[in-house]
Amino acid sequence: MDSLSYSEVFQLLLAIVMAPIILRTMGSTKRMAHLWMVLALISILGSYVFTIAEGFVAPTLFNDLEHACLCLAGIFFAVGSVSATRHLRARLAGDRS
Amino acid sequence: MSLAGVFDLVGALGFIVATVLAAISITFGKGASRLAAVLMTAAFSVLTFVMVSNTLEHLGITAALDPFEDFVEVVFFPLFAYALYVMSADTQLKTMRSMMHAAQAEHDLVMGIVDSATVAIVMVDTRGCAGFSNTFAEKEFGLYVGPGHERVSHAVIVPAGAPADSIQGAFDVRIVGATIRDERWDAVTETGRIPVRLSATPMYARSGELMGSVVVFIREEPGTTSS
Repeated sequence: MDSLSYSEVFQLLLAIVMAPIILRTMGSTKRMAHLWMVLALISILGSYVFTIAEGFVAPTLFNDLEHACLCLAGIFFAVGSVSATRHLRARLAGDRS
Repeated sequence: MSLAGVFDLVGALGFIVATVLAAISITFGKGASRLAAVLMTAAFSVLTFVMVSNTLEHLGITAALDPFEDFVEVVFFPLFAYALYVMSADTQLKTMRSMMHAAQAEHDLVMGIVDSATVAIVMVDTRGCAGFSNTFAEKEFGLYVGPGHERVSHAVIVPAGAPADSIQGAFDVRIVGATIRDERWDAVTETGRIPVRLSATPMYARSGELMGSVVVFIREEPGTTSS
């Protein structure tokens, strides 16, 4: 168990506990931005799983997968933020008119 | 640079874009929207810090930020969840306010129609007491409803020719739950017995429980007969 980092396990557990709450809150609206955010959160969850797995088997592979997941999360969050900002600006423009 | 380093660099750029856009949206929002944008910016900043730290490490610049990554990263999910909660609550609040305004506008419209009608419109509860009466019912028949919905009626509505002495409420209880179409009833007022044409429809709660009746009536003829 030397390879097990307790902070990483704690992060994963916290993410697993909070994920249903986040998904339920997001599910109340059907915005495109939220789809990207959900994909980003799944990617982050994946990175947490891979970072624990790399301590036990195939460290290089799982390390690359962990960073790939975080990379995807960054891209999804960026695209989601662009979509959310557009939606917000359109809504504000609608409120002013 | 290793493959992981390339992923970190691309991911860091993505998180920087997300953080900057979330920070810009702080200036758009007001109240709860602004708080949500602040929390979202904080959440994205956390992961930006992690990705920048990873990139600097993989580029061989410094690993000084590495010990702080886990401590910082652990607050991402709570911050993100809190931001979403604030956004969701704000959206629900706005929807509720909008529905309240729509309901108020509809209520005002209906009250305008009811109060300008030249027929008496009264809501009767299961005891036969008037819970609501329009202006015409008050002026023409003395059917008042007090501020606390207590009955202060000066009139009693009974079937044609029926005695009015034993009536506890403003209406004979036979009206409660009955469907009546244009029947001849009497309004027994302080000035005498007035023949009226009366219609009534029962009111039910969503549970199916009888709540009372909506009663509409009008003077049958201009003259009154002594009771």
